[in-house]
Amino acid sequence: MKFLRISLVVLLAIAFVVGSTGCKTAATPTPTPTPTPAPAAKKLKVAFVYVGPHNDGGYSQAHEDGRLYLQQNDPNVETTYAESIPEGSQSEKTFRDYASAGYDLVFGTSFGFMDAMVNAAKDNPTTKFMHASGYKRSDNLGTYFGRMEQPDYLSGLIAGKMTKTNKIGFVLPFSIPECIREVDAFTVGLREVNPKATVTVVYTNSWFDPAKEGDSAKSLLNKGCDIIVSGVDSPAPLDAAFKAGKYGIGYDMDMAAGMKTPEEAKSVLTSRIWHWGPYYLKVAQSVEDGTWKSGDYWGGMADGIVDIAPVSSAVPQAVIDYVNTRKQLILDGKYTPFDGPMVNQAGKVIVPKGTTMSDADQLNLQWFVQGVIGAIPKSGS
Amino acid sequence: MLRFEKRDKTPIQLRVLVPICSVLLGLLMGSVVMLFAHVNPLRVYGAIVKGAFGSAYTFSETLVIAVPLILMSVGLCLVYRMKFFNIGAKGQYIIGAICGSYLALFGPATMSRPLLLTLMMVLGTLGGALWAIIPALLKVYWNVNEVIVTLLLNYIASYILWFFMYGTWGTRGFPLSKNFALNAQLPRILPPPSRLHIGLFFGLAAAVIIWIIIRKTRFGYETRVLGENERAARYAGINVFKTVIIAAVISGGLAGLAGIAHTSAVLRVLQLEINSDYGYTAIIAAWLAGLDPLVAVGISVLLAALEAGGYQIQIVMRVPFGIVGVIESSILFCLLAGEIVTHYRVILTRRLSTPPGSTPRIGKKCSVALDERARGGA
Repeated sequence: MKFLRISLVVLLAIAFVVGSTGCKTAATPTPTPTPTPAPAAKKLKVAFVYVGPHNDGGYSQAHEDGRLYLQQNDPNVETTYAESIPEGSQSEKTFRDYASAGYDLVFGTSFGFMDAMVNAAKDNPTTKFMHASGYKRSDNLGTYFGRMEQPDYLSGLIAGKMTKTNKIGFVLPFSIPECIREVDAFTVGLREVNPKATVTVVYTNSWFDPAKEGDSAKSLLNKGCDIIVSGVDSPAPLDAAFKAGKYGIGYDMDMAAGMKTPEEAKSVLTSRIWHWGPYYLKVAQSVEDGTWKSGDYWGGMADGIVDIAPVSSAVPQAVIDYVNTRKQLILDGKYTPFDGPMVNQAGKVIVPKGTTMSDADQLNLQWFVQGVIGAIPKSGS
Repeated sequence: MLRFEKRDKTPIQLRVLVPICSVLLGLLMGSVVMLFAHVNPLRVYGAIVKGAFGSAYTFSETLVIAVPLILMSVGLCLVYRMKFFNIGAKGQYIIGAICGSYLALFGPATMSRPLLLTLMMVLGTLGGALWAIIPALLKVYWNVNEVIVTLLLNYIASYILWFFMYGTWGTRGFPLSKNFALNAQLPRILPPPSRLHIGLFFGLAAAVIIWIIIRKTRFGYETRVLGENERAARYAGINVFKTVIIAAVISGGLAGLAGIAHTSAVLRVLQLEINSDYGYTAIIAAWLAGLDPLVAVGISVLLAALEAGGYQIQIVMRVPFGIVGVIESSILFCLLAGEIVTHYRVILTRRLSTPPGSTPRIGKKCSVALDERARGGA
């Protein structure tokens, strides 16, 4: 008992010290959101809200690279980020906190932030909000995204030439339109060069869950797939493919560059990548010069917001040449992966030859093309 | 050597002092990590306090998190006293949210607001209760372990939510329902941007009622006897079947109410992420409160403050999110470890100088007395 009493006294003493100093800090005026007298020109304060860790090696890191690009190329901005913000009730408070801390421009990079941003934007009219992949807009809330379908299609061409089993596995987070567009565009490319090949889809039900992503990839490999395409945010599916001696196709950023060994890098045939930086710079500058207007931006490869990463040395030059000719057609605006004829899983022509699926239909896409093995749960309207 | 001896009764000073010291020890542990990350711990802790209690708005946001924690933890206090270990508050919360949201999304549009909201809350409560009856029935009929059943039912509940959100309740392929109409939104009690809602009163009322049930009613007494000794309870004529089912229904019902209240008042939309993990935090709250529902209210507010302040320091201090997790888990770790001290007497004994089997040395004073008696006898 004596020992206990002594230790309690010691702890209490520490308590007093920590407690009193702690209170003092709490009482002193705010730590960081600097109310320091503004220097000559007031800097534009820009915040980014990520759903995953800023260094997830995938989607959130691609945005983080964009933030750093913005920071480096515009001396007149001050940027910050919040990471691992869940899509539940917490996100709304995060957006409100940035608005009340005086941020002029706030980017939310995950679809599930949509209603939180709508609510925060309503009460903070002087802050500009930009939401990636959403569809709700207001006077100070804009939306933006990239046509990842174009790189998806090109990587499908590579996969079609490289597969030996004619079975490709696609690890997909959700059955939302964005992800379905990716699978469809990939399959269009795949079957253009290899009509016998199929794509098997597995859902992980999460944007970022490396363990589950790896397991999903393994289950696809066990089914005989010899190329694993990642539609999720971590490189785990590619690791699984490499360990099984198979190929992978990365997503979000050049995942070959992040691999530990040259062999592993070689197993990544290519990656479909985001280049958010130049776009973020453009948006920030439009806010600075007062020309920013709410709207929807949906850029493609011609804008440079999406691309495919340098192709692995495992891919023959003839294939690379073919991919480059197709890429040029996309850059020139002469081809999109959603040009007809597009046939659904039941074999019915949905987009007739000579027409292209409208943007509105692409944004609500709810069917797989022929060659995809997997189902989409039936959704309400 | 350390020896642990169960206490018959925990002195009130310990009940208060140990948790305080545990929190401080947790803060110290967190500080060490922060020093390695080159962050000033005092400023971080200051920012957490400020982020949780600093203004009327931030405090109301802390209470927004506390409301579901209170509703769930007070219900858990009741069943845990019975030693019915319901780990399934998360699942009951989800089912409650689904059942209540059904009316919000597909109910008659013309129904008056008070009536619709009442029905939503009742349906949510019933949903949660129903989800808790399953493990209770399995327990009383076949003695199936309720820990396993409730835990696994959490996953089933999650997937039921998936089923509806990716099915006909979603919109345009997104796992997001249409927004609740004004009629289906539980009223908030403070002007915007605060999202504090009348669920707070549900929580406080529930805490008082459960406290009365535990302390003042025959039923509360029966649950406690059942928890201490089931056989004795049967001999005493307690209807075990009835008691287990009713307690499980109350605990599950409160979790269901928490789910629909949070969804209807705060989120105003049904989606995949409805903060159902509060169901696990509520277990910690109930346990730390020593299964006292009134104390559980206070603990829920503190745990909510930790969460609310934790997110805040990312924004204010620009520290990596991992730090938040380190602080939260060190504090919880120390709090749970502190439970040992409150429930057990820790006795520090010198190494025994006599081998076991021979006369034990009882203590200095006694052995002196023995020596003297021996001398006197000589």
